[in-house]
Amino acid sequence: MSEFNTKAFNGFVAQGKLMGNRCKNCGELHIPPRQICSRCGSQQLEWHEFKGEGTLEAVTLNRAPSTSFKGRGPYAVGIVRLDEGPSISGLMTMENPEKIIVGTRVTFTVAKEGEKAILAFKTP
Amino acid sequence: MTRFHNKLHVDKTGRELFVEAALEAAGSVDNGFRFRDAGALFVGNFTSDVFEGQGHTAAVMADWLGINPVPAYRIEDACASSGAALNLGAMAIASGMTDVVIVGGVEMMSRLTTDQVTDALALAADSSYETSVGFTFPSIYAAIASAYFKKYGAEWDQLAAVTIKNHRNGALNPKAQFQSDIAAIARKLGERDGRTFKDEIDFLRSDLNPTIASPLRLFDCCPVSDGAAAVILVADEVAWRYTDTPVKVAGMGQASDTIALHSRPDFTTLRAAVKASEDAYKMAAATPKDIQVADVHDCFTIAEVVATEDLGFFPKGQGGRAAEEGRTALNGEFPINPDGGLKAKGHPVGATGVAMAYEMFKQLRGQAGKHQIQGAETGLAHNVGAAGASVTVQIFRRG
Repeated sequence: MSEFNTKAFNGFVAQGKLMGNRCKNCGELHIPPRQICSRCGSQQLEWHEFKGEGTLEAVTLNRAPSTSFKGRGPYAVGIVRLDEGPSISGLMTMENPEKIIVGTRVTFTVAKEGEKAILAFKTP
Repeated sequence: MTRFHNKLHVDKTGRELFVEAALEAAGSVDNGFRFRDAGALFVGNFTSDVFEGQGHTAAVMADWLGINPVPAYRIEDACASSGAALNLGAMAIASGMTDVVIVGGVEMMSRLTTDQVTDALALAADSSYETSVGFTFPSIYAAIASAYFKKYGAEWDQLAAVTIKNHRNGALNPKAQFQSDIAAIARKLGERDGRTFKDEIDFLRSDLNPTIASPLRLFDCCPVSDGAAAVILVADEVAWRYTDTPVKVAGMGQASDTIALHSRPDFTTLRAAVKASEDAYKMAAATPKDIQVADVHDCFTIAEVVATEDLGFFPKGQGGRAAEEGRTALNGEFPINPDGGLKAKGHPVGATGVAMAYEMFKQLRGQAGKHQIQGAETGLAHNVGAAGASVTVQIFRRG
């Protein structure tokens, strides 16, 4: 089994690390990690730690959460374009989530939902 | 197709809705049609497993149509399930396997609570990397809207123009779930609360249209619906047996894209829609200018705006303005969703793609009633799965 899997990715998130992988053949970066390079198809991949800094490229204040997020009330969730290039979805943990707009600079953090660690971002 | 609705069908099962839709399709065949003429059945369905505790959907439908033994296929590509079923049905005929197929779609959603439906629909997103951080479908399309607004300097008013237009069209469609325009809804809810609204946009800006996921409000979202739709596809060579006025599938396309929205370079376009339409236009030897009527997948108002750009009707960033200027209205240059779209007609997800084909069949034969686009000869259907990880497009021509 490939080491580049959801369990490993989530394990790193819980440790405060934002880990994707890099194609050894073409240099393409992936987050989350993939088993096959999305650009060249190579299976020669290596772990790559992202710095966790980026710019919010899409964001919404969600007032109709799914059942597992009901307890949070309205919360912001969005997509962050990381400085290294790829982008990733995350929960926004800032205060005043209704004020968060596209273009805001954010950094990776971990939010807790019971025992579960959730990939999240905050303003630096 | 059945009427789409969230209450009318609540005591029925999906199979009963499907048979109702198929009987109407058979009844519309000028020279008569027996279900047993079909050599195969293709059924689009997202998740009858979750919605009504019934799997193995295609076999159920084949059985209830009384056409055993035939190859019966259930197709699941989220909300593009029956658009995909239609393409596969056409391919089955093109392959020579059979000359006649029944293609349909069905979804029976209203037995679950709104929260349960939200969770069920979220199964079509990336459960490991999107819904796991708090995304739902309304919030994914809201994220698309936020990126679109930023990139093109667009505003919510352009989305409201889509709502107003689609409700106006739905009011003319006896199959639609909502047969009231926004003005009528504003009057009704205003009377209830002792309030008056200046105009439709004044109502849509009010607290009676609450935010679901900013910037999308309640009336930017399609409703929860039950319904089924069915069409009969036959080979060119045998069409004369059934009718003198067939509608031809002139071109079709389908494309996939990343399951998570975040894995794409641009959140303001659905690449799969661009690719599927390019393939359909090529097969039909057509261009966007040839399309006289189109049903596009407006699960959320922003989706219609993006669709009209992806399909080449308007340049990027202009789709919202075009809606505001009335260019997509029944009497506009590109009439979009004359049947009310998913917004007003309803969206029983697995039935939607074939319901679009049903609308094009009616339009191109001049049988669309009050929402008829006069003289339409070429039409297009655009059916999207989730946030564009599956998209199907068909181009239809009067035969």
